Amino acid sequence: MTPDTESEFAAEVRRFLGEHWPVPPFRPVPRAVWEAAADRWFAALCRRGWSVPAWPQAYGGTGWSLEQRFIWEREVALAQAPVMDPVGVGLVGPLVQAHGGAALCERYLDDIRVGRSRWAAGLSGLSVDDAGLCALRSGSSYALRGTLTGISGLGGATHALCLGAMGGGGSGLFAVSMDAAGVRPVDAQTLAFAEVPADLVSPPGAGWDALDLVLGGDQAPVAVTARAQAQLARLKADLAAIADGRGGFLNNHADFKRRLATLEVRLESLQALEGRSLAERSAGQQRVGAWSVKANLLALGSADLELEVGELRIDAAGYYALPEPDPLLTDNEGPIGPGYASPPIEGMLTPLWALEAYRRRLTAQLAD
Amino acid sequence: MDFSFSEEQTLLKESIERFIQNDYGFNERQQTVKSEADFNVGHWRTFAELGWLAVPFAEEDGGFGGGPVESIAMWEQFGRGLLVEPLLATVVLAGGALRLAGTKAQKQAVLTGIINGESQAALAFAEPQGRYNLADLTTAAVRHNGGWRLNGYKGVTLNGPSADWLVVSARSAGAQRDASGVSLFLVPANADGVSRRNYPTVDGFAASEVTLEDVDLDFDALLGEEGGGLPILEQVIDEGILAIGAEAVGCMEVLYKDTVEYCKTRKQFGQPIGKFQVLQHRMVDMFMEYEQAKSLMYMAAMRMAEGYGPEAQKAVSAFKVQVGKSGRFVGQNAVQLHGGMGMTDELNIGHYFKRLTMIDALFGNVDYHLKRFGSL
Repeated sequence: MTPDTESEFAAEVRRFLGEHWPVPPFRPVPRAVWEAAADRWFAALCRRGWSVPAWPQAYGGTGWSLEQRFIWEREVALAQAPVMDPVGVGLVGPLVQAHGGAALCERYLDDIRVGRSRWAAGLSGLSVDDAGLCALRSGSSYALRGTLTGISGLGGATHALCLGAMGGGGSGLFAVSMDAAGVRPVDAQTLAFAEVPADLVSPPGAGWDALDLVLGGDQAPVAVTARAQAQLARLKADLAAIADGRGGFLNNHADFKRRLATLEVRLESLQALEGRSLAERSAGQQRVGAWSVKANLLALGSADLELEVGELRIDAAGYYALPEPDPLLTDNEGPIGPGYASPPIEGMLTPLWALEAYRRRLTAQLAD
Repeated sequence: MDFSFSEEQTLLKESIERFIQNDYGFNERQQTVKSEADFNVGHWRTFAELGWLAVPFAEEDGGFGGGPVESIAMWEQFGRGLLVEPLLATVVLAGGALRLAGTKAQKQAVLTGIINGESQAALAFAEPQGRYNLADLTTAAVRHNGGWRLNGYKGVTLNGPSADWLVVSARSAGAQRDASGVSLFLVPANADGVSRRNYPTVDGFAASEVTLEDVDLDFDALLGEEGGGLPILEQVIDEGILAIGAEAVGCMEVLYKDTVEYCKTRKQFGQPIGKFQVLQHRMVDMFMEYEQAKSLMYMAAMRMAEGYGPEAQKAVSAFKVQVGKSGRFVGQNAVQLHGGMGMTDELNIGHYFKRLTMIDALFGNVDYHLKRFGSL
């Protein structure tokens, strides 16, 4: 892409966002308003054919170049627009395309693309020895038995992607319908399975590896630093609005200025790395379907940066770090306390979980 | 320096230890957190029966006359169990203000109920614009009809939702951030003009935003000297820091030990991951941080026991700085070491991490207490 067509595409994306995602970023809005806006946004994505940009065109993808996908992801993240069914689009889609065969593609892909299904992810208990879920072969298909906890996005889900232990050793990834007989919700994060029919969407015995490949594969997100960029922008605005108890605001304090600048420099360097990685991928210099060293560095650096942005946001919020952050207001009272909502501590836990995995993978790559 | 507990202190510590071990399971704690109730009323009754709610109060007020050392002995155990019952708000903060500044009549009216477990209280001291400055107050108290009239807004009032009594800081004289002119008031939470917006906190507690609109009080609602509330507030907050700091030490102990245990048993490449040197070094650093925080806990408790003044304040600030830094290090590493290798204990570890992070945000974070330490 030439710089001209790049900025043209970016302008088109921004126009589309402005038209169909009118919710201002980082401002708490009533839950009902947000949910209605999200429904309209997803519908607009489907109408425009942009609901599954990274999928192959044969399955309804956009056929965008990597640069275009980068611009799209960045603008969506900066506008804080919701991503439609991240598990279905980002994980199940690529898995089914790679391992599911024509029948499973038929069964799942269209529903995901048009937003008819919504997927929960039960990928905890990542090591096989403590998997609470077992898959038993029954004829040409599988049946799941056991209990799986730590499932995310169960509320409102029509399907679940589950990691289970396989009879022949190793793990497998299974697609399960929530309507299937024998599925019983235990709590908001746990499902119990009693001989539930399921489709295998990974090579048998290699579920965890297949997942890892998808996370680092050619349909994986390209604009990795965008989330940190959006959070930093939010932090900067907050610092100018948070009183310091001495008659001024935090953005005039040397230590906050210094910490903010340090994080901005790190973002700059990560974005430069992101640019280099993107150029390599565009030129076909990176192995497709596997984590490249640069992709790994980028993931590690971004997770680390998000963690530190989260720390600084909590430091800045003072006592207002305490209220349980609810980005959506349940009533019409407005946000708790001053205009800035408390920083989501979950936003720190997620990168923390991931750091160790990135480090280990990178260690292995560098030792190779 | 004598770092050992007396026989009585040891008994107190052990009774809490037993309770946490036998009666305060993590799953049950989580059920309390998720339920409509802000805490377990049955446990609260037990605390009253065991006398824990009476420990810091004077014997003539029905208490046991415990001091800073009793406080750390108790709170370290509370931290290990990650207690969500509002002991900090009711006993240490609001109860502390009454203990230090209350008249005989005020103590009788409120402390008796706190000690026997019937009353809940909260200290409404923070304001949105004030950050950690206890004197930055826009809530105003004026004399009115022989009593007081309060108007203003108090933020993040811990235990606000359950409180029967609010101890409110308000400006009765002077400019917005003057050290003098701060007064404390004992306000029935159901008084006309008091409204509360309640919400859960990320670490499992409950808090309120409190609006005061023409709240009329009797003259004897004044707690302590008119305009002399700031020193009381400072001491109460420092006692609060000692308590939550000790709680943090208890949290760190659990995280550190859990992580070591986890790394001993979790296998990778055919051997326990605890055999990897890089992880061993990380665990040594976690242990070091925990021990440093624990050492400053004893130091701060002893300085506080010697008498409240600049030396005690300095020791408390040093302790809070260390707790903030160590808590962050131990919490983050515990999450990382567990997280990267299978998320079996994620719920448990994550909740300790959240509490440690919020303890840093309470009563002044690392930056704030470094500055305070330097200026004392």
